[in-house]
Amino acid sequence: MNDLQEMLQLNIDDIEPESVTKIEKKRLLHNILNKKKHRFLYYAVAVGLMTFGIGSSVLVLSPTIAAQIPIVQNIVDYFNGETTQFTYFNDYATVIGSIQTSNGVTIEIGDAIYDGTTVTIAFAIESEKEDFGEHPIFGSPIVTNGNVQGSSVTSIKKVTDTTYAGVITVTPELTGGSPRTVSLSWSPGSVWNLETDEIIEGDWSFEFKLKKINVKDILVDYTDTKKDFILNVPSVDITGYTINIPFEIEMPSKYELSNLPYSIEFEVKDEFGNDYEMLTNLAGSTTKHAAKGSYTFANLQSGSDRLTITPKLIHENEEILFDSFIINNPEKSGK
Amino acid sequence: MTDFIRKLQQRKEKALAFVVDTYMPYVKAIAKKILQHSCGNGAVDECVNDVFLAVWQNSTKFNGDEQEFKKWIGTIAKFKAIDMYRKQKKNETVSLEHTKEQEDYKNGELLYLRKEQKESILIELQTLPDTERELFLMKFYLDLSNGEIAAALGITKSAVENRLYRGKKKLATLPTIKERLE
Repeated sequence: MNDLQEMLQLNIDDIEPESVTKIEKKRLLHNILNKKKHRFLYYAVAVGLMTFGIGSSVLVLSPTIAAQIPIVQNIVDYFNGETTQFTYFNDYATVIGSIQTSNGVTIEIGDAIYDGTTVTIAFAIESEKEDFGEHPIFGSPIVTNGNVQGSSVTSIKKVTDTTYAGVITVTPELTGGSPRTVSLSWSPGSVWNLETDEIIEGDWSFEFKLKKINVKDILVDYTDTKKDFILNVPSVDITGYTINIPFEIEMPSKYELSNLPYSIEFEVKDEFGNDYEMLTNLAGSTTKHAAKGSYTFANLQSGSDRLTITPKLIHENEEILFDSFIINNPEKSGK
Repeated sequence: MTDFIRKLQQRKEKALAFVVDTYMPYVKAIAKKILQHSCGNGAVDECVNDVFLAVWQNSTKFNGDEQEFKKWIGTIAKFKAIDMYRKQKKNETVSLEHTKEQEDYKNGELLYLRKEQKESILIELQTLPDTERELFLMKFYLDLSNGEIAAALGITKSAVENRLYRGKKKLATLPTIKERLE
């Protein structure tokens, strides 16, 4: 019998578990939550970037000019091909260009966008000596209007052995709707190498304000009831960067958000059948049996006039489909 | 944790942490058994990572209880590991020319797309009954010949062909496979 046959005949019910350390488990969990892509793509992109990295490290030899030179140029470009999130990012982003060094580690906030619902921050890290592994993690989250509550997704990509490009997308809990400006503060506190469990502490501290980019608020006033769930979408906010769908849901009295077996989802398609990529979402209880929240999708693809949005509740194989509703591209219908 | 499958399907991070905590020792053991000697520890880690990423991204496609979940994650691990082993063997027999960086980048993207499609096949085939699952995974996920499948299952080549023929109707309900049958 050859090796392949032996492998194919392996009975998985007879396997004895291996010992796994806490660090291994933590690292795996972190990789998955950061949607670490398959090795093939990761390596391929890293190869393309090496040339640039070498060039930039030559530039920062002089410490006096280092402070003004970005660690990484065009940070979001490193994620192109993996997500449609950044197709129009550069058209709307505000340049922050804040760079701070502490304990041999430099952190740069490159540019950022606030779209009325989410905040996206492009950042870079450069270390004098340390390699932080493939996916370093920060000690403390970003604070929006004094509040740390919300949901956030962090994507990081290693550019050279000591340089990283990253993006944090946050849906903060914004009290009082969608303010015109938000105050952001971020003191990461530490950078943690999950692979070695080494933590480098530092006193970086960033504070900046972001103005809401232009939002077309399309009144929808959609309400539908299915199986005693009442779903309401008051409006859909279209920005050049994102599509935000705020919603409210009233549940039958046996459910509350914490024990709801269904996940609340939205399917967004345009007239060409393109599926839109969900970026972040957030939901919180308003009363015992009601909740509200928002879903953020990537921006309208060029050429599309119309979006069909279908709210859903999904639990295992059961799907509660709400009626679809249609919104028109404000740029086109406005002309 | 009670009802972790439902919570995982709701994309609760605590449920994912529970799944990693509970099943990583089992998944790692499968990956190690298949890959450690032939491909090394790096391949074992990559395989474990890929298995949990696939589970996290496809949890809503799982239907069953805790015992069936263990079988599900174990089968994904076994077949992903064998797939990696076969790729490694292929690489060893082909002398690779040193290519330009840009070409590597393009190939990387192509490989990635193919991998995505293969992943759909792996997940879709899990909905088949136990008796047919392994046969179809060997055929459509691993791309094994009917002769190799016959040897692995200890049946004749014509029995393999017969089972594949009878199973085609069921397979036509699975979107990615249907595309390949056409």
